[in-house]
Amino acid sequence: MTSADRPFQFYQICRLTELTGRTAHTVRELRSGLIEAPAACIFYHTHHAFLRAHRFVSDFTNDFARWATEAVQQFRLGERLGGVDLLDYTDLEALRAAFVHILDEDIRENGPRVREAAQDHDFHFVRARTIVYPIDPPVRTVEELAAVVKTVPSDSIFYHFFEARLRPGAQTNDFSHWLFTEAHEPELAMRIERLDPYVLDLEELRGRMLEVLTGGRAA
Amino acid sequence: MIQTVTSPELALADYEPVVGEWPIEEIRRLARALGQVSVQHVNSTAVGGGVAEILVRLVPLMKDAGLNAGWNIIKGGDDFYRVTKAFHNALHGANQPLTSADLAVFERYQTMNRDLVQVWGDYVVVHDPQPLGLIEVRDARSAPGGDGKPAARRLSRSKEAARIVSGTRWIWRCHIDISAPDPHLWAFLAPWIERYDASIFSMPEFARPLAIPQFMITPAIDPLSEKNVELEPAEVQAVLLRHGIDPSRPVLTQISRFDRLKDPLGVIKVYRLVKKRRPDCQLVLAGGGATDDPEGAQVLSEVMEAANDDPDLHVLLLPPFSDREINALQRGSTVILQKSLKEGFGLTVTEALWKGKPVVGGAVGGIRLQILDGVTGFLARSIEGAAERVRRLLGNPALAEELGRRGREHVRSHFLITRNLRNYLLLMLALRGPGKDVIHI
Repeated sequence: MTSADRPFQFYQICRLTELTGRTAHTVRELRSGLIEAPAACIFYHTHHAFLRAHRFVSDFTNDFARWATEAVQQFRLGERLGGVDLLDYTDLEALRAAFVHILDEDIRENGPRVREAAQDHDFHFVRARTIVYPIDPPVRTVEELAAVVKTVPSDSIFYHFFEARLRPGAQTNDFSHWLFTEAHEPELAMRIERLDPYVLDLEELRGRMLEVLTGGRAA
Repeated sequence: MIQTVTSPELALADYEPVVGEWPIEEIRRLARALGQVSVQHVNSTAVGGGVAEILVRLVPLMKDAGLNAGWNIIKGGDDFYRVTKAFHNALHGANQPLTSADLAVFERYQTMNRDLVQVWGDYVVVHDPQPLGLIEVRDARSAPGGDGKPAARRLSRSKEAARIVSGTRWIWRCHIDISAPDPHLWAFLAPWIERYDASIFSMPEFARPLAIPQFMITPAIDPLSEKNVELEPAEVQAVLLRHGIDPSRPVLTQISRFDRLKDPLGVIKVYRLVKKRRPDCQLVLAGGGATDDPEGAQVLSEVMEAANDDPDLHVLLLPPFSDREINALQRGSTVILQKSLKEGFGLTVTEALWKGKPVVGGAVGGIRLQILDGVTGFLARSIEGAAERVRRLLGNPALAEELGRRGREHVRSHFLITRNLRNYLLLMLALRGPGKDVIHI
């Protein structure tokens, strides 16, 4: 059991939804809202579904796609917005640009036709204020890391996996970063990095991580 | 002096078996981070209505978490409540004529209550429009030459960060939908609202653009209250039998006021469509408060006429404080309906979901947050659609059970009083770091 240079500290997050007051009634308004909304809104609308117990409520996990499909009945647009591969992005501005690009193309294809949401189904841009605090003692070995991953609240997994990737300059999740730079376990770091959190729910992600960290013994 | 409400003693530890150890530990952790703070809730009534129902449980739980929490009621006469009822309707967008005399009545009571109120909270949470004008207490006392409070309490409106400088934070908790208010009334109320440090709405759809931060906190139910606590099957059965309901046959139930927006006549039509295929089913329409509401009495009369002495259609006019009775009726039901045409949050849906019941609800208001269509229940937009879903649930008990199970978990995660308390704590912490997306504690 090798001890890491610096320990891994688990954090828990609590999120409170904040309304921006900005809404969209048409596809064009969604585009302008997307351009002007704070980056925190982009994160919220593309990620909050992963914190829910019932994430497969619709075909799409991001709110833009869901709104285009369910509220505006623009199925092709919804499918394209839903097809944005979040794993490709470690920068919220690039992610924002990807959605705006799809909307630009769609608006060009559809010309001046106004496509609007059904009554009472406007899009509401919201964001989250996040409170973060440390939990559990810091861990120094892979075995200790696995033991805490097994019991930690799922919101903590979300923080270290999803939020971490989109922190400025981070590029990867906190676990892979620590395994690579502090625990000197590049193979494990790579295998955790290869997990696609966007096709799993948090409990499935926890299970896959444990499989990697314990060599399958925790499966 | 304004009235101080004495709440029952409640212990967070009693909620651990319901929500688990971690959410309770989290509440304690957040409360510790806040430190020795006091939270003063102010509203206009101690009994009746959803706000009082939440505060009577929330305030003692805040105390048990370690906060110095309390609850005050403003004074108002019949003339005040007549005007605030009209305000309520006009804020909902109803065509409600308001005179300058009405506005003067409102202002007179605001002035009176400002003289009576003692602001003692580090956080003052003002619920709904009735006590809105209390905010002037803060500004009056913080102004130069005021009552000597530190000048640091003065309000700067330039930026959010400058807005909350120190001292008391004022929060306006709006429980109603103000998205399309009467414009004249809005022009009258908005200057008060925008002097608060923050506002809370139940859903994004209920809010409107404001110059102050707006947070979303959904209402919640208390799983240990009389309306939601677990009941013995014998008690449930006894309540059904007492009302002439056969527990051995399917029971469809809608619990709501006799109000057109709850569409009780539509529910009867749903029941009739279902009964063509399931002649054994029964319908319970249970609600209260119709006798002192002229329109409610009219709706009740129409419901009775539509019921047409059908022995399987039970219209129950429940007296106040029938929480345990409602609990039993919900638990004794096979399917719960909430076929509202317009709805606030719809706490009767939350109650039904918490009891693990399959629910068919109108696709309006907060029902859409609670019923994830086909996952935690069914949404319906028509009588025919609602009837089809009820028939499906009656014919497929395994589906009904699965939807009910998921509905209960959805409520456990999002709509219990412990979550509500946690969100208030988060809001208070967020107000300490204005403008910050992430706050480390």
